Amino acid sequence: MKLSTIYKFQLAEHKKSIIVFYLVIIAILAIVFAINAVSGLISSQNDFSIQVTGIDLAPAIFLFVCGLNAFKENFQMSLQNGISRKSLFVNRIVVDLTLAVGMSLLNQIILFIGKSMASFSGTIQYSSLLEKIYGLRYAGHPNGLMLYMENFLFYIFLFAAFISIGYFITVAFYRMNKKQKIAYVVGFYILAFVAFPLVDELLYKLGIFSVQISEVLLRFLYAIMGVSAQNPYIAMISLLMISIIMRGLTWLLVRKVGIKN
Amino acid sequence: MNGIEVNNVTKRFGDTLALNQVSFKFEPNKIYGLLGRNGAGKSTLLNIITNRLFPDEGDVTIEGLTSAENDEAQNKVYLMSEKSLYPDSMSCREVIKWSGMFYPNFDLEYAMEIANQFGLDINKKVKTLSTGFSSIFKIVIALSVNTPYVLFDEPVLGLDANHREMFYKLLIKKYSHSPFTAIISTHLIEEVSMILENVMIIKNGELLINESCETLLKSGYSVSGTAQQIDDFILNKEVISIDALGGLKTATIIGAVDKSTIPHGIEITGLDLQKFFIKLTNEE
Repeated sequence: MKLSTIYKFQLAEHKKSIIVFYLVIIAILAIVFAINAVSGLISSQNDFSIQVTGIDLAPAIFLFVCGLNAFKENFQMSLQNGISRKSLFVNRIVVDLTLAVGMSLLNQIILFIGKSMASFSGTIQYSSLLEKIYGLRYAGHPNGLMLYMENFLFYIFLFAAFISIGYFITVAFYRMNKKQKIAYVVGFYILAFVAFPLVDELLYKLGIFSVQISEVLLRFLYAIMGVSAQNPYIAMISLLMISIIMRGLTWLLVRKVGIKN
Repeated sequence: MNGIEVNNVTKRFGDTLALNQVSFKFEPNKIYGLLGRNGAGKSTLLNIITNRLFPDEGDVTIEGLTSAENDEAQNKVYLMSEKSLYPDSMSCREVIKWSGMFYPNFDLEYAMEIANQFGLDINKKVKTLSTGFSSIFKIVIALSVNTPYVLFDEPVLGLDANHREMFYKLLIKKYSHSPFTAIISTHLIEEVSMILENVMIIKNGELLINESCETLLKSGYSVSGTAQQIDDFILNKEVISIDALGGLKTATIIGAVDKSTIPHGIEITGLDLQKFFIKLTNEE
């Protein structure tokens, strides 16, 4: 009973924010279609065109933020109500999978509605991120069942990975003291936005490396996301591995964490 | 295998030794007083029992079940902690509702009834409660969860005299109606001594006293009279405190009292637990 309660408790805390999020998405789409309709009325030219791409990626960012806010209160509430760290952790995964599946399904519904409305207007190009990344795979089938099926699966894995990364970060921050947090944030910023670009550029320009490190990383990203092979299933496997690694690291941090004053 | 058993528990925070090889048992259906000065290790002990902290050494069992990371064992115990672990953004009503879902024997009706008695506005958010009402809010839940073991860490923090009395009365009433183990960690020793069955005193992370309250109170007595009478009487006795006011004196003495040796004009009363506690826990 307690286990299902901690599942319900964790899920319930996302309810309001998910409603607000989808209201915003619907409002954005409504504005886009309204602008298009108004433009069509005031302009006699037919070359006016709006491209809507990648709005289906927005839930990934939203779920990443959800992950960032999903630990402290739930952890405290669990311990207050006699729930072990293990049960909290297992239930968190189930909650995250529920969110990933549910929001991926909503993504498909929005994609379907968006594409249908775009096909009526004629001046809006509405496409999913998957169509952009794996363009060759879906060429000529913009509304095919395969697109929706693969889109649905792809986003489950993508959302699950994003939320697991967010959750790992927040658990890691919970374990750190103030000095460690500052060191981590400053260190990450310097490394990612100052040191890395500088070293990358220097090594390349001095001729030590014949190709930039960033270029290699980009190629690696393309490979693990199946872009080169135009295969989203490679991306799904990669995202699953990222999720598993993140969950594994999170468990190492959670299993012995104590309450903080 | 009944009760909560604490076996050789040691806990350190950096260089500070919070608990040092502590072992004892909380028997079922008794009211315990867990006493100790600030930083003595009381809250650490309660946090270890309720799986909020892990001991460095030793273990705790609840009715024979390991307490650490065990949902079944933790289902039998509830800790009303000094620090609120409930989400600040939630209203008291929501927290009470969720508590009812977490604890199968939670008495929702009783929770509403005593919240009303205390004058707690359950529509208020947890973060907006004053220190006193935050304690009341946690008391309401603690008295309603109906787990076999309820641990109170500074339950009367910020409560006025009326609310403190109300809490003690409700606790006794609940205990009389359906006995459970209540462990009360507090500084207000005088007040709580009336309801305790057992007293545990912790000093510097070590268990100093683990006695029934009755035995402890019999271990000494207080005498009051004129300064001269008291000065004469306490000669060669183990005196733990002396209070003087004008020409009158009160002395607290450790040892058995022989009433036949008490001079006329000296009044005898029971041991002052607070003075006894101060004597025991004062740093040498």
